Amino acid sequence: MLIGTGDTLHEAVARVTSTGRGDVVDELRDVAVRLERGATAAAAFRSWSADARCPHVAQLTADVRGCTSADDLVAVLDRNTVALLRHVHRRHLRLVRWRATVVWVGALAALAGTVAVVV
Amino acid sequence: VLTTAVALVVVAVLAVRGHVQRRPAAPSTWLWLLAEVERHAVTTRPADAVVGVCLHGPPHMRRAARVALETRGGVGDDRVLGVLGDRLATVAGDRLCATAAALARTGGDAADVLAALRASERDRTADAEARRAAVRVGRAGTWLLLAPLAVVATGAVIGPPAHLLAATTVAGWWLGSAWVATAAEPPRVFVGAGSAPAAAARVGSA
Repeated sequence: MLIGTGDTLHEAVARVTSTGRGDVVDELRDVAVRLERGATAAAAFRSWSADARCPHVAQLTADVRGCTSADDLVAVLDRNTVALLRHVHRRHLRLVRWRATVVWVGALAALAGTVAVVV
Repeated sequence: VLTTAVALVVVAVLAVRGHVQRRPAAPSTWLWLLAEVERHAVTTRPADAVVGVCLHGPPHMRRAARVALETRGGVGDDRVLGVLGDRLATVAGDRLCATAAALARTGGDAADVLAALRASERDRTADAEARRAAVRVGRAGTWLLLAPLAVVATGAVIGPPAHLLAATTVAGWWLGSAWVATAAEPPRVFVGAGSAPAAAARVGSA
């Protein structure tokens, strides 16, 4: 969103780390420090990928490193965003469905017990 | 009969309390807000558009906009939108206020970015609908957990065992409901507005 509205990658990272919070922001803070010390964006993101050991971060940083223009970058971030949202949504749905199934099994067992006692 | 009545009163009180706590902001409200901001932001500043549209929205948005306006004297659009986002306290509010703040700061193309934000909000609404449908199935199951109360109600079990059975049933229902409700909490993922080619064209080399 920040890059889409006119920030450069460096500015966007600096802004997210100054206003955001959470584990990913903590990791991005290391990226911001490396960028401030003069590291290239590719090197900073490679270090993040190595430290994080997360397949999604590895995918994102590899895609970002391959960008040659702002248009590319926006498109890559957009693609990763959609993929990440889909992944989180599917995982969350699986959790909800599993819990619903467990509750139904318990409920049916309770119902069967009730019927047995009444009969 | 008394045991069943007490158990049902406890269940009713807990259910009403849970329902009030779970009441979400209607997704259509956010889609309406985004469409209105998109319409106004083309001719006015995005920050003014967001605050202005919120002032004409539902009560919680009006209250948040008024608080944001009170902070306006001497502070920038960024701060006003930050306060508004905090008061709205939803992912959609965060995203809209952060988008408007970025647009206010950089003068990016409001129409494209807000249109992309609205499209992604529509996707999120569809995801939330699928999640709610799955949660409804679980919640229906939790009500079946009250079935043993029928035993107490028919008098098949009387005395202290009936009290124990009713209490266990209500506790099981409450725990099951809470367990399903915990899973129903949407993951708080902040994701940007999406592609905005016209605005991105102005950005320097990445």
